[in-house]
Amino acid sequence: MTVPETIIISSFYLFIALMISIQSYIGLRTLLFGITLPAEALQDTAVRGIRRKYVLLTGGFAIATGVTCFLVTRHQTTSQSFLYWAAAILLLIIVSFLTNWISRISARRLKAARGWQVAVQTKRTASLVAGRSHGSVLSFWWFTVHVAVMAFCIFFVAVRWDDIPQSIAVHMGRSGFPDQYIDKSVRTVFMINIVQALMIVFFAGYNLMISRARTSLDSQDREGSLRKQLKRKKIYSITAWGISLLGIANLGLLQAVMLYGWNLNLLLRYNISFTAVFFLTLIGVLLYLRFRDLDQQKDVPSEEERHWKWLGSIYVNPEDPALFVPDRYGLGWTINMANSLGKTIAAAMVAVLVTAILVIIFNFR
Amino acid sequence: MFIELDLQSETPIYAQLVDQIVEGIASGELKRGDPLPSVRRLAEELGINLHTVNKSYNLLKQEGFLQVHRKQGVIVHPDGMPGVTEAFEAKLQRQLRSLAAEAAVRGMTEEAFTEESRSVYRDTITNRGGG
Repeated sequence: MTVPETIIISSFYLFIALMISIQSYIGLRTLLFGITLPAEALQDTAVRGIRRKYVLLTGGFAIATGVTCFLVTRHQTTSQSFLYWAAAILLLIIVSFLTNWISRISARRLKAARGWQVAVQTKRTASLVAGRSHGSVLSFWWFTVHVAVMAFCIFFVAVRWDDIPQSIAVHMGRSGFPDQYIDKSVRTVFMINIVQALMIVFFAGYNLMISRARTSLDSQDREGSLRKQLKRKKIYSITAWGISLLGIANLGLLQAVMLYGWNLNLLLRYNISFTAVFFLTLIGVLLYLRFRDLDQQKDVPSEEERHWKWLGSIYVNPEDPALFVPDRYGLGWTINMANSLGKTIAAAMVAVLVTAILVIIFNFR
Repeated sequence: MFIELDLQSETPIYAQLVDQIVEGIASGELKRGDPLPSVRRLAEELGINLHTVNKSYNLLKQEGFLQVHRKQGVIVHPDGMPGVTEAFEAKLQRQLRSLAAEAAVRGMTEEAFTEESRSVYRDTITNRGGG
């Protein structure tokens, strides 16, 4: 594996490790690994202890695995290294599930020991004006920019079809020369555009989800919480729009390097910049949400623990007509899997992702 | 304008919704022709059953407070509110009777009762939030 490739994949691993490790410190403060706590619990040192233990265990494991993987893959080929790093990430996810589960048990025990009670709220608040989706997210016309970029790439290919070599280089070896080729065909030449199209569908769908999701309000501060929720939705919408646009441009650049022999260094520099921008933006957004107190709103209709399955990651509530609700930790949104349309959408999202991945894998053979 | 429901109240949810929408129209927060969220949308936002919202909207439509508009969906009736009907007068007397009786039993004078009624009426029709 080349040095730039090592940098990209190890920083990707680092990002995932970071996100998994600091999980316990982001989102709702009154939630401890899926267990709801009363406000007075926030001062309790035992609560902080449980969070700290999770970070140390998971973070420690992440570092150990990452270093091991780095040392092992230093002299491997790209595809082998890729498999090792993918296995490391998978292992990290499994371990984090375990540490999550253990922390959840500790949290539950602590809550019982302290006798903490959290009353289920019986007030429901909604805005009659903002009940409509207008204005909470970027208009879908903004995604025409993505379509324009993709169309431009396709146009470029069509115009330069004859200049594209019969054997397209798909991987650069350590010597600085290509070592893997695929044959030119309509499928192989346009596969990147297919992935671009799938990306546009995915992110436009994500934008739609944000606009349709319930706007959780605080009955004690209706105007304030409404303002915060709308702002939060806007931030997520803009961030997703921007990141996906950079991603689509990235794919276009990859296509240009592959087909027209553009400078590979340009692509690598873009990749590294894009990866850095992606990480920094996500962390920046999380920090901004925390500083502006935009991430502490509970969603009342979904707050009962019994509706959240699988360590609090899947929401199933047949009494709730909403399709999209804020997720347990208040970071994003999730689908109500008791809803049949919800199940269809979840399956469709998985299908789009899997298709995109398969397209890449099967065309790079 | 906000809707706030109390799931533990003695008043059924659909009735709370009806009352609050009518109060909204009375106070001016909801004006003639203003669109309301669709049944599904409001049910989702409140996390309550669609049938409950549907029942409330239907009641309001029947009474003439809301109208279904081709493009905008459910709106506050643009052509003015229904007048005082016999049915409404009967409802008013029915609901006032129990309050008046309790007030009398508790020793409230007729003047005080009237003054309370007047001040509640005025508060309801005053445009909340200024403007």
